[in-house]
Amino acid sequence: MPNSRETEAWGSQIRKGVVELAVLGLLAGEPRYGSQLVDDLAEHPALAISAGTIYPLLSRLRRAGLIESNWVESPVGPPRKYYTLTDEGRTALASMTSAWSDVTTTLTRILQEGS
Amino acid sequence: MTIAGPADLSPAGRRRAEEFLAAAPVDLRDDLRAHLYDNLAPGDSEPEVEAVIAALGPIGNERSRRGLRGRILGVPYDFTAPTWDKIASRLWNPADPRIWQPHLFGIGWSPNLGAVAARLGLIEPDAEDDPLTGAALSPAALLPAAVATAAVLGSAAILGRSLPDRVGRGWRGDGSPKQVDSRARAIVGSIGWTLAPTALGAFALGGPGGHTVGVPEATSARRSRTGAVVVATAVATGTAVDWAGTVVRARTGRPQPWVGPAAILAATGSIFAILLTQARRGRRAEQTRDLADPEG
Repeated sequence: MPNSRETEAWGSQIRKGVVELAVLGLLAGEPRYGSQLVDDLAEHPALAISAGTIYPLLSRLRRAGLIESNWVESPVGPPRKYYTLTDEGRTALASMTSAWSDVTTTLTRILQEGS
Repeated sequence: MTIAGPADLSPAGRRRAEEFLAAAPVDLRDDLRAHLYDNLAPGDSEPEVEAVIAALGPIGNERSRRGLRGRILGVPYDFTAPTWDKIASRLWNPADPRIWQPHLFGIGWSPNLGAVAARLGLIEPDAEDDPLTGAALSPAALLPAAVATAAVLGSAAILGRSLPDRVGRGWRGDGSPKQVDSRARAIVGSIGWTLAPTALGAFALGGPGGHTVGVPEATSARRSRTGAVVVATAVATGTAVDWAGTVVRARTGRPQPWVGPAAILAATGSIFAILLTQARRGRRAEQTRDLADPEG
């Protein structure tokens, strides 16, 4: 029987696996800057991440060609770097969303059958 | 020529590049991706991508590289080649929050000065898309090494003859010298170990595309130049502080325990200033590209 620590670690592994999909999903809605993504994800505690996680992730997504960045003037304070999906990013998001849907549908069914 | 990403290639070229990267060892993927982007041109198709891949030669498997880096009892080690590019990217990675990274070469850790700058609010973690590549290296980057060289040359010229025939060099933690050399050898050695790195830094700075505005430069080449100047600065400033210890000890006869910490401080502080300045120049270059008037 896994203890709470093991369950927490398992939950953390799941979060790591889906946060990329969550970020792409948020950027599909509108361009956002780094700390804005952290704040938006913080509204969903299950997916909350730190600033230390978001920037390496954004860097990796940008190098993979899934997102691109652009400096934009800010009405308050210095310019901000906004991120948007590229065409490749939209394609990847669609594929990942489909794969996620398959996994969750199957898992939900298994858990319902088991309960 | 360089490309910004796979979208710049033809569909066939993009497919081949993605296939290659997907099959590449995970620990090399980022480096291989950067290499492809630096060596392909917009519109390149499958034959061009194949040519760049072929030129890489055998990559080797993770098993063969495993012995070169890893951890022993929790302490990291890395004996892979310390390229200029690797030096710069390890020392300056503001997107990575870890201040201590596996050592550039050897056992232990090295500081990620970019993480320090981000924590102090001096630079944004994503100030540049690719750290230290947004702008050509400023000639001012050579200032610390040049000042160190001038200080050694000037003090050697003024004070050299008044030093005793034999002087101490290289300092232990207790302030005693590791070795005792002839005055001439100490002077020549100190001048050599400041002048040569400064000359190397100047060569890196002034080489083709070094800081010439408008001359395109591959991403890793630009970061490599920064890495070379950083190493030159570390050697020159460290040597200058060592020479200062030699002079002070010769004149006072007392141990100089401050030399070691001062050398580290001088080198680290100079390198931090160089990298922060370069990162801000890169940020400004990106903002100039994207904004109508970056000054507001």
